[in-house]
Amino acid sequence: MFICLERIATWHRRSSRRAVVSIGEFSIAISLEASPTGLAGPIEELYGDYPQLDPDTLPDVTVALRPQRGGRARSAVRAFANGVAPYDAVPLRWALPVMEATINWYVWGHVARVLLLHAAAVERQGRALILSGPSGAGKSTLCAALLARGFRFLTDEIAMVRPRDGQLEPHPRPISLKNQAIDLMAEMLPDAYLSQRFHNPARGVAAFMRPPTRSIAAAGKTASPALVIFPSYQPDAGFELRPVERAQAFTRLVESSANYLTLLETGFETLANLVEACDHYALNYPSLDAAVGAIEDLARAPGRIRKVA
Amino acid sequence: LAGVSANLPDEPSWRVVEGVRWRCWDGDFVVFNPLSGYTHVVDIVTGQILTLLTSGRTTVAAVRSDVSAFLEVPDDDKLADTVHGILLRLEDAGLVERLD
Repeated sequence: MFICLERIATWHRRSSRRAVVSIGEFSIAISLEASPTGLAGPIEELYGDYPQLDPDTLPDVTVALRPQRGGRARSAVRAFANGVAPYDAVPLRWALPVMEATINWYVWGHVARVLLLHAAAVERQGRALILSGPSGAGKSTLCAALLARGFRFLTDEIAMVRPRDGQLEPHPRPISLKNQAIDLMAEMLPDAYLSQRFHNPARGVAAFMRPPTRSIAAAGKTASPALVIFPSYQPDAGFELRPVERAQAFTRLVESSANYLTLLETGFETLANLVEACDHYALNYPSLDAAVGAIEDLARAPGRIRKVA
Repeated sequence: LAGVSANLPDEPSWRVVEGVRWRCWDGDFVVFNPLSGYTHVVDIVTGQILTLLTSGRTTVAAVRSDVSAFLEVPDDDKLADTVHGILLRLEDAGLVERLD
């Protein structure tokens, strides 16, 4: 199944294409303006399973990819979120990563109705497991590995906590994988769609994985936060799983939030309620198998480990 | 903390600034100041004082007595200095205010 970036005729651009996709409570209009050949296909593949709304729907954000004029006009593109371009123009082959980064930038800086945490999250039996940590901690890889074990995918980068009832709103956007995680996930989830690979001399290789269809279909179904894991991939260290005190978990989650400060009392109450509702663990893992096994144990028996040594 | 108590009158009253809220987990208090937007993590003694001051206007003597009972230590000059130091730090953070 594919979304269709419909050709729309406008007074100034005769070859624009636009689609509005629904991602749980969030909606994104993707607009390819005067789109060069080859740009629509990868986007349609990556967003192929998302419900498509009427193109005239007013979305939360419109992300527009516009070709750049000037010297490299035919090979460069720039991404705009509601008219603002947070990043420089990039070569056409980098359109997909810059589009995803631009959507993240917009959500991170502009969505105020929910508490935003930099975290991945999955769900099983209505209980959400939040993976919180800085970039490079292994959140996405761990998240994808848990999907292979049957967890429902909620989010890869941005956890949205609803102040009204503390529920986690799914935001199942494409999963950003890097370096060895790409081949690993291709092996663990052989049916999942993977984008082309993007080679960056400074950062290595990146690719995007389309979330499982059932996770996208259930994007409107919230989950109750139950477990917070602070993972850290340490290939040369031993495995360690230890409980984290709630006050410490609170401060770590504050550091990971985009809008805790701006939400004021609402931010404090929402985060405090989440912290009280969850058990918290720090997980240092040298191998994915060990980490996934430990998390599955915790998900089966919440509260099994309570005391901090 | 030596000398801190000299900056305070003998019997001032204190109370928590309106809107300040907190949670206590395992002896740690996480305190939010709605005026500054800052969140503070304070120890159990400071949290105990905040809790006491929530009841409204409270004298330093009452705070000392409460902390003395809580910690099971004598209500002496050393405790007075400790309590005064905590009150001043809470005041600096905008979490409590003096009434006298």
